[in-house]
Amino acid sequence: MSLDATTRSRLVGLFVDEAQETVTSLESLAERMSGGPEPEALAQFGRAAHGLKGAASALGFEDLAGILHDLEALTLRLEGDGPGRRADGHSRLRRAVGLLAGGIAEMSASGRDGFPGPVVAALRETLGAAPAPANGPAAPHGAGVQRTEAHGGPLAGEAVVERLSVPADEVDDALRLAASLARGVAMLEERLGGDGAAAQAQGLGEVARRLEASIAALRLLPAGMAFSGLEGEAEQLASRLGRQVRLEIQGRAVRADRRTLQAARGLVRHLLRNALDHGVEPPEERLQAGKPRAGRLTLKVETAESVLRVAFEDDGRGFDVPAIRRELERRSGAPGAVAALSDAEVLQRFASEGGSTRESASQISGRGLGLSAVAAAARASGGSLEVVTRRGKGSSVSFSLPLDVYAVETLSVRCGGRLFGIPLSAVERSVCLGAAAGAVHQGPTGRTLAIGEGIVPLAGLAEVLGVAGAEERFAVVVRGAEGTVALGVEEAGAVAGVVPATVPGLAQNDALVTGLARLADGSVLQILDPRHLVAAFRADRPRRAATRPAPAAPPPAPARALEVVLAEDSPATREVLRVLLEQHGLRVRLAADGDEALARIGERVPDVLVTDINMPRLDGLSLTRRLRDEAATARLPVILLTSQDDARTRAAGAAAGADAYLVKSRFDASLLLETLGRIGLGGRR
Amino acid sequence: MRPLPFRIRPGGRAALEAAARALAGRDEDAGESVAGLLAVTFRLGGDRCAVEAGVVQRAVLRLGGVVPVPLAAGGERLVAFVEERPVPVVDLSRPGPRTPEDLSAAPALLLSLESGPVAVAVEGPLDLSEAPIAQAAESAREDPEVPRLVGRLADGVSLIDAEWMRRFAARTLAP
Repeated sequence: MSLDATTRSRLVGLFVDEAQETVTSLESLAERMSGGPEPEALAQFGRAAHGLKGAASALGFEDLAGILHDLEALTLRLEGDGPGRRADGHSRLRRAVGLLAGGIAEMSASGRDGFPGPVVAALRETLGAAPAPANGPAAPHGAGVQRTEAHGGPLAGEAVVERLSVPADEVDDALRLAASLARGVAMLEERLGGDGAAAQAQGLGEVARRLEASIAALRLLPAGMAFSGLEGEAEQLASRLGRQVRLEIQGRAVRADRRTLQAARGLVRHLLRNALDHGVEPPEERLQAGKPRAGRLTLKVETAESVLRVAFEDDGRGFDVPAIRRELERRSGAPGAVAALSDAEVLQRFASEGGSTRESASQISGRGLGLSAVAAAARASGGSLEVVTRRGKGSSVSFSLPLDVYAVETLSVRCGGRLFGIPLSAVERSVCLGAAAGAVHQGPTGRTLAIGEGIVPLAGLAEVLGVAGAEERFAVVVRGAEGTVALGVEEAGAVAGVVPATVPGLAQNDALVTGLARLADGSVLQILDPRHLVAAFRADRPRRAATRPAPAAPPPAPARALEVVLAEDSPATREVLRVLLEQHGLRVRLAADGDEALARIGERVPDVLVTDINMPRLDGLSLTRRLRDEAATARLPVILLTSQDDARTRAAGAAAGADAYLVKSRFDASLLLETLGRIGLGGRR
Repeated sequence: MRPLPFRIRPGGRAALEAAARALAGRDEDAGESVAGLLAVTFRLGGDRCAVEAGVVQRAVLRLGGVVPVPLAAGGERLVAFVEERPVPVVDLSRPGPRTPEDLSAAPALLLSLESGPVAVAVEGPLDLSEAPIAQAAESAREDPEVPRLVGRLADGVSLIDAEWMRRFAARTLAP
């Protein structure tokens, strides 16, 4: 890996920070283990050493990586040792951690690019490892030098860069103040307008913005910088394993706090090593499988409000789920319980527990600790991990980490007299309800709003948040993981870039409000999490519909397959739709037009009507209006399924009382199922 | 009562905050060199109360801009900005919780919990006092809603158990 001096220096700085945190953790775990057998502490110790080993190796600190490998091996041996040998092992382990801490502290204090040689020798002696051969181990990754200092000085030609250690909280405070100052000056500039003082205010504003950017740069790095050098690292590691790969990093411009990105880099390194050791096939094998010679690795980085999301994908073999299942069965001693798990659950459990389907460990990976280290780190920080695999096609491991500090562009909206910010990345559009009154319809499952691309459910933001306030002058269309919804608000105002602060004690997992920012005028902006907002909207929609006055509410249906009346005049389309729906567990009764549909519904009211619009005798819109006029069917959910894809027909559908509008050219069963979920029928199939 | 090491004029915000900072940062020896107990005094339901000053991270004369933050599980949590950081607010006043508007004008004591800082809103005026403990309260069964007294200061002020105050804040904030 060829790096310029500045980049290398920055990466070494990141390594030293990470190493100091890891060593602190190792010290604490070693202390815990001194009291007696602590299997969990031992496992954590092994994972932490494993993580640092990857980081050391990536920077060419091969001696240190080898020592960490030996330290990790020592922890594994301790699991099976008897009391006498265990005491000796623990003693060596504590001495080794002390030496390691000293070596890292020396690196930190001196700013040198290399782990001190004398400390390496002392660690080897402590761990009982063989000294390095005269010709040394394999050359480190592209650096061309063994990054261990033999003489305690910096390597020739390398600059010593001074690093300052500053409490992150203080930088965050400074950043928030600078952001507040920049906003305040901007408001002042606006108010001064063409006044003579405006030029001075502009100058001040420029200083404030530069101050904000400068402090932000201390805390918020572009992901591209945090992951720089990873492509070279991937190629070097691949080459050692006889693989060829190309790593693509998406989302380089994403900015996030240094600590979280640094943690993510450490986790990605685990995943990279796993992918190269287990996933990506050798070139010949790939060619035989019809794949390109070089494996494709993709790292996707994004921030979603207060969370950093990272996905690492490869196009290799994929996880061997049957082998993992066998390993879990063997380990658990309860094959029946493992057999009952789905493949996804097996993968999740494997990721959590760690382990390997291999018989021997390599220095690259192979102990199965990497994935569990990622899962443990993500969980410990309040994040999550997800594994998806397709045998022979590749796998994807995604994890999320909460951000320490984040900047977000928000649309500010007012509701119940309070100011909320909806992240702009989740806002599809805002609509003035006064001008679009005809597009709002009160349906049996609640209100809907017809907009250009479809009909979306509508509710007041106040209702969803459970706060007082009924006035709705605007609707903001917000996209979340569970679909798109429209939220009625009093005002939809300016777009503001803010650096929110999290509130201590507010739950991270499902918080509606992820952070607060104080604006220059002193008002407080509450930043909403679109995912949880949409989830809360969906969860509460049946209750809102149920509390709406209705003429003759049908009794709650017993748990059974969802029954659909499908009205479609084309026999072929009707048959295709019937098969599709039945394949997904729905019971279908057919009608060739609106009149027949009325007859079927008259025989027995179904759970939902799916109807075409253009049909002979009685079209879908007239059918919907007729149903709405009858007490027994006024609340029957109606989904229009048509080839007409224009705004006027959509609005007509909403006005007639339809709950959803689907276009045949984009139709598939999953879309229908999603729509059923959206209108409150998702759990009944 | 002995002369107070810190006597703050009511309304002297800067001085009170400086004194509170000094108290929060004082070392053990400094605390022992003064006879009597250093306490932050306030009122609850009109009664004069106090809590040991050492547990108070900061005395906030006026919370200002208390906002209710909706929770996913329903309900709301009150939050105020103290030195540019949002902190949850719990109301210790009697007979019951006040509105966010009323709390905005209320004083508060910033305590440290495991989850982070919390502002415990009380009734003013806040003051700093040093007085010997005249009576120690007998241990009574703890009522989560009623402040637990640990004694009475020589000047008649009821001394509230700081740990009870912390537990009250933690209970109120618990999901």
